[in-house]
Amino acid sequence: MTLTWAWLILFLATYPWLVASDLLSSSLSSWNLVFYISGLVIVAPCRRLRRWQAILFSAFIGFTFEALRPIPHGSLAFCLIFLAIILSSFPDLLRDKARLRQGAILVNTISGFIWYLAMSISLREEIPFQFSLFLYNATLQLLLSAALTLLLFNTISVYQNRVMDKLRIP
Amino acid sequence: MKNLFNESPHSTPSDPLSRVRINFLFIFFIAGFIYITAGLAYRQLVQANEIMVQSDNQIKRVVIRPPARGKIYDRHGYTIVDNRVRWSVKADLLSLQPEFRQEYLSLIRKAKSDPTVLKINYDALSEQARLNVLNGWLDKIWFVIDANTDKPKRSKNASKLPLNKEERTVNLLALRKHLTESRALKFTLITDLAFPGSENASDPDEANRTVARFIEQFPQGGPISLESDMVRSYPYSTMAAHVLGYVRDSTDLPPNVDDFTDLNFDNLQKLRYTGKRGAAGIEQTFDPILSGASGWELWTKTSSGYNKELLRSSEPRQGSSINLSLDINIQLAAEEALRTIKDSTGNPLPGAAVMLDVNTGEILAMASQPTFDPNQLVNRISNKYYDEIENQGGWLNRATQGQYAPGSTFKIITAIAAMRNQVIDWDDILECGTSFRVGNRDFPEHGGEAFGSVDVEKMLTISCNVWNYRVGLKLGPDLLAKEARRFGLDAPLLRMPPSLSNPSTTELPYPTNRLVVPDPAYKQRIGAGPWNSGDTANMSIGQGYTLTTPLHMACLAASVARNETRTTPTIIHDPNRDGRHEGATSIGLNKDQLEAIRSGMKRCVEEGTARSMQIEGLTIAAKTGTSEYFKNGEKAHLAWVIGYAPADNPAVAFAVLIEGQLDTSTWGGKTAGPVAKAMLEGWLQENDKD
Amino acid sequence: MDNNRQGAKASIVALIVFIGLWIALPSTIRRLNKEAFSEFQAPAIQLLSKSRDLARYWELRSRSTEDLVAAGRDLARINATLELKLHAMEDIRKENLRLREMLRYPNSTEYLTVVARVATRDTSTWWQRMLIRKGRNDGIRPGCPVVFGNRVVGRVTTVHLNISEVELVTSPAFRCTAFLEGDDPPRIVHVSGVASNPFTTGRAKVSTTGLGGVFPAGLILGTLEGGVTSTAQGNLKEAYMVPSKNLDTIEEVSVLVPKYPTAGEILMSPTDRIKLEEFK
Repeated sequence: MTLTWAWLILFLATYPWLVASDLLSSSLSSWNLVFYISGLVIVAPCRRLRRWQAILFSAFIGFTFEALRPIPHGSLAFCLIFLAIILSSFPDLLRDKARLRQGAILVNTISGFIWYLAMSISLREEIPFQFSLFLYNATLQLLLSAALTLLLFNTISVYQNRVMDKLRIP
Repeated sequence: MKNLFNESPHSTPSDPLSRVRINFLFIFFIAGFIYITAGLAYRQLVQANEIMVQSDNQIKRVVIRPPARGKIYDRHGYTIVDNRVRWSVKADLLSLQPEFRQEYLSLIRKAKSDPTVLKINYDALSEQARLNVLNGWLDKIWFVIDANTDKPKRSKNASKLPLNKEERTVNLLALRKHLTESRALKFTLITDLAFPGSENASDPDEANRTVARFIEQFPQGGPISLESDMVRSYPYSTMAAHVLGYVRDSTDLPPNVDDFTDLNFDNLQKLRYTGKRGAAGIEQTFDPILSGASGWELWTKTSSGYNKELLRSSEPRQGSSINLSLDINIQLAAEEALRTIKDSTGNPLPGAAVMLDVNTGEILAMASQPTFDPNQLVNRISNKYYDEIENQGGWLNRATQGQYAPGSTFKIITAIAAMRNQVIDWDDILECGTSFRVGNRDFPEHGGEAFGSVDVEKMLTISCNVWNYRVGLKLGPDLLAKEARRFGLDAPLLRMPPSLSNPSTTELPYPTNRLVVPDPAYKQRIGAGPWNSGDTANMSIGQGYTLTTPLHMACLAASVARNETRTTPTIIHDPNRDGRHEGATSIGLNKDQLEAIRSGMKRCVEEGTARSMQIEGLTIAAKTGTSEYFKNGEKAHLAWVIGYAPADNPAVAFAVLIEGQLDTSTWGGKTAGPVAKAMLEGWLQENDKD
Repeated sequence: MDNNRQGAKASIVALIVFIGLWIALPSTIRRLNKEAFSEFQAPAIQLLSKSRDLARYWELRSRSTEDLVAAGRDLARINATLELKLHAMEDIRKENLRLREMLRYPNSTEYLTVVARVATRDTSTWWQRMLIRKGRNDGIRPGCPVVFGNRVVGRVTTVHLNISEVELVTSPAFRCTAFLEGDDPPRIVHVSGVASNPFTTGRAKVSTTGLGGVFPAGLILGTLEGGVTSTAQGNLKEAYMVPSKNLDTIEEVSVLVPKYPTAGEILMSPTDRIKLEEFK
C-alpha cells in the first residue's frame, strides 16, 4: 500500500517547494523570469522509485507547473516523463553525488528549455516571434534554472531522500 | 589501350610512326581527362550557384507588396488626395488546413451515408469544406461586430451597420481564384472592415466601433488576423474628381525597391498582392510619380504551395507627392455654383468651369458637372455605380474633353481679326438692324432687336450679331480661321512639361482631339459641300462648325488679358514659374484697339449681357455667349461666359459653360454668369487672405 | 540491467504512443486535466495569499499606536473628501441618466464590479499575468476587464473555481483600442503590449475608447513615452506606452463583469456555447 502510493505522497511532500518557487517568481515579477525547479525535483525520486512510479510523479510535477500557465498542455509533462524514463532506466548514470548534480542540472535546463520553447511557439501567433529576443531570454532563463539547481539540488534531494526513507522506499 | 601503354617502353624510339601514334593518343586522353575534370569543376564551382538557385526556386518564392501612393496637395498645401488605413480581415489558409480536412472528412462521411448520392465528387466536397470553414469564421466575425450587447435584445432603432451581403458570405469565385493564383497569401474575408460595403459608407464613429469590436472581442491568435494597408481617400469627395481621377485594382505593381542585388529575382516564383494604379485624371497621368516602389518578402514554401517561413523582406517605399495648381476654395465655389444651375424642371445642368492664373497659366479651378465620388471606387468599382455615372455622362471632364461651339465669345476673335486686317478700326461705326441678309437667308440679331450705331466696344457690350456678320463677311473665312488658330483654339493643351520624365504626354488624360477651327478646306474634307457666305456669317458669331473646350476659352481670356496670343495652362503648381507661354506673341493691336476690346468686355459686365456677375469692388471684363446646338434632335442652348478680373490689372481668367437641355431657357449671362461670379468671389476671399 | 534497458525502450515506445493518443484525445479531456491540476493548486495559492495578508496584519499590529492614530486621522480626512465626491458623482450620474433618457441614447454596457486580491504574479518575456483570488464562483468570466481605480490592469483570460488568470496590459498579447489625450479629431489607437518600464515620465495619456464593447470608455491605459515613429509603409504610427500603474506592486483589483456576456466571451467559452443565430 505504502509503496503503491509512495509517489503521490512524495509529490505532495515536494509540492511546497514548487509553491515556494512560484512565490519567489511572483515577488520578483519585475525580473520577467520564472524560478523554475520542476526539472530538478524529479532527479532524486527517479533514482529510487520504480519506473512507473517515477513516471507518474514526473507527470504530476509537469502538469502542476503547466496548469496555471499559458503553455500547450502536456508539453512539459511529457518531457519530464521522458526524462524520468531515462533516469530510472539508467541508474548507473547517476552513480555518485557529482554525477547526480550534473544530471539534475541537465534535466532542469533541458526541461526548462522545452517549456520555454513550447510556450514561445504556442504564443507565436499573438506575439511576433523575434529570434534574438527569444535567444537572449531563453539563455537567461536557462542560466537561472542551472543556478537554482546548483543552489537547491542538495537541499531538495536530501529532503526527498528523507521522505523516501520514511516511506521505506528501497 | 592497356597494350599500347605496356608496349610503349619496349617499342623502339626509332619507330616514328608508333611514337606519333602514342603521342597522339596520349594527348587525346589528356584532353579528354581535362575536359571531364573541367566540366566537373565548372559544374561544381561555377554552376553551383545556379544549381542552388534552381533548387532554391523550387522551395522559395517572392511576395511583392504594393507601396502607399503619394499624396496630392493643392497650391496652398492642403491635402486633397490622402491615404487612409484600410483594415482588412484575412484568413491564413495554411493554419486552417486541419479544419478544412476535418470538415472534408465529415462531408465525405455524410455523402457516403446519403443513399441519394450516387457518385461522390471529391473535388467539389473539398471546395465545399473550405467554403464551410471560411463561412463559419466569417459568421463569427460578423457576430462579434454585429452583436449589440448594450441591450440583450436588439431594439428596432438600434444602429445597424450597412449590410453588404457580398461581404457576409465567402465569394466562391474569389476563393477559387485565390487558391489557383495566390494560395500562399492570406485570403481576404472582409476587404474594408471600417467601411463594410463602401457604397453606403458609414460614419467614422461606426467605422471605429467596428474595428474596435473586432480588436477587443475577437479571440486573438488563430487563423484570422487583422491587417492594414493604405488606400486612397479623397477627403473632399467629389471635389475636382475629374482632375484627380481615381485608382483601380491592379496586380501590375510598380518596380521593386532595389535593395536585393544579391537575390536572383527573375527566376523565383512571384506572387503579387493587389495594388492600385491610377485609372483617370492626375492619378493616371502622374502614376509613375505617385506610385512609389514595391516592397518584397522572400518566403520558403510548403509542398502544397503555402508560405512557410519569412526569410528576408524589404518594405515598400511610398510614392512622391504632387502639388496641384488648384485652389480648393475656388474649386469648391465653382462646383457649388455649378451644382445649383438647374433647368426649368429642376434638374441640374451639365457644365464646366475653369479659372486660370493669368500670368502663369496655372489652373486654379477646373470643375465639371455631373461628377462622381472617387471614394466609391476605392475598394472595387461596382457596376451599379459605374452605370449610374455613365448614364449621367459623369465620367467626361467637360472642361478638357467636351467639344462645344464657342458662340458669341468668339466675337472677341472676330473683332481682333477685323482690326488687325484693317477691315475696321476701333472707332468705326456700323449701322445694325434687326437682321442681316446673307445670300437668300436672313441672319437675325439676338432678341430680334435693332442696335443702331455699333462700334467695337458697343458690339462686345451688347453682343451685336449683325456687326459680326458684316465684318465677318468682309474678312472671309480664311482670315477668321487664321486668327482663331493664332489664339490656339484648335491647339492641343496641357502637354506634359519635358522636365517631368513621364511617358504620359498630357497632364490630364485623353484631352479631346476633335477641336475644329473650320475653313473652306475643312468643309470639303468632311464632305459637307462647298463653303458659302452663310458659313462665314455663322463662324463670325462662333456658331457652325467651330468646336473648342472651356479650357481653350479660358486660355483665350487669359491671353487677351495679357495682350498675348497664347496661354499655356498647367495643373501643376510651381512657385517659380516664369510666366512665359509657349508660342505666345503680342496680339498686334494698337493701344486704342486693345482698349476698345477691353473696355467692351468691361462694359459687358457693367451694363451689357454679363450684368448678372457684377461684384462690388471688383471690375470684371467678360464676354457672354449663347450658342445653339441640337440635343436629341431638340434645339437647346449652350451658355458661355469667359473673361478676366480685375479688369485693370488682370490676375485670373475664367470660362464657364453650361449645357442647356431640352429647351432654350439657358442664356450665357443669365445661366453661366452666376458660376463665374461664385468663382471670382472665391478668388477674392482667397486674395484677401494673402 | 539489460532487462531494465529493454523496459526503457518499451516505456519510450509507450510514451510515444501515449503522446499520440494525447494529441488525438478530445480537447475536453485535456481541459479537464488542466482544470483538475489548477483546482488542486488553488487552495495553496489562496492560502499563500491569505498568509501574506496575515503577515501584513501582524506587521501593522507591530506599529506604534501613534502611527496608527495618525493613519486613522488621514484616512478619516480622505473618507470625508471621498464622501463629498460620491455625492457629486451621484448627482452627475442622475443627470447623465436623465440626459440619456432625453436623447434616447443607448445605455453603455453595464458592469458588476467584483473586487479581488492579487494572489501571485507570474511574468516571463512572453506573458505578463497575475492570479487573482476570485473565480467562477464569484461570477467572473473570461474576457472581463480588470481595473484599478480608473486604470486598466488587464483582462481575465482563464477562470477557475476560485482563482482567475489575468493578462496584464504589459503582456505582448494584450489588445485594446484607445484614444490619445488631446488628439483632435480623436483617432483610434491600437494598443498591443505595453512597455513594462514604469519609471519613465510619459506625456499624452492613453485612455480606452469604449467602442470595442469590452473596456468602458475613458479608463486610463498609460501614458505615451515621447517619440512617435512611422511604420515603414507609412500607414501607421507607433509609440511606446508605459502602463499607468506599477503592476508589480498592485495588491487589489476590480474585475468589471458585464451584465450580459459579450459576443467575444461567447466565442471564447466553448463550454456554454450559445448558437450564434439565437443571439442574433
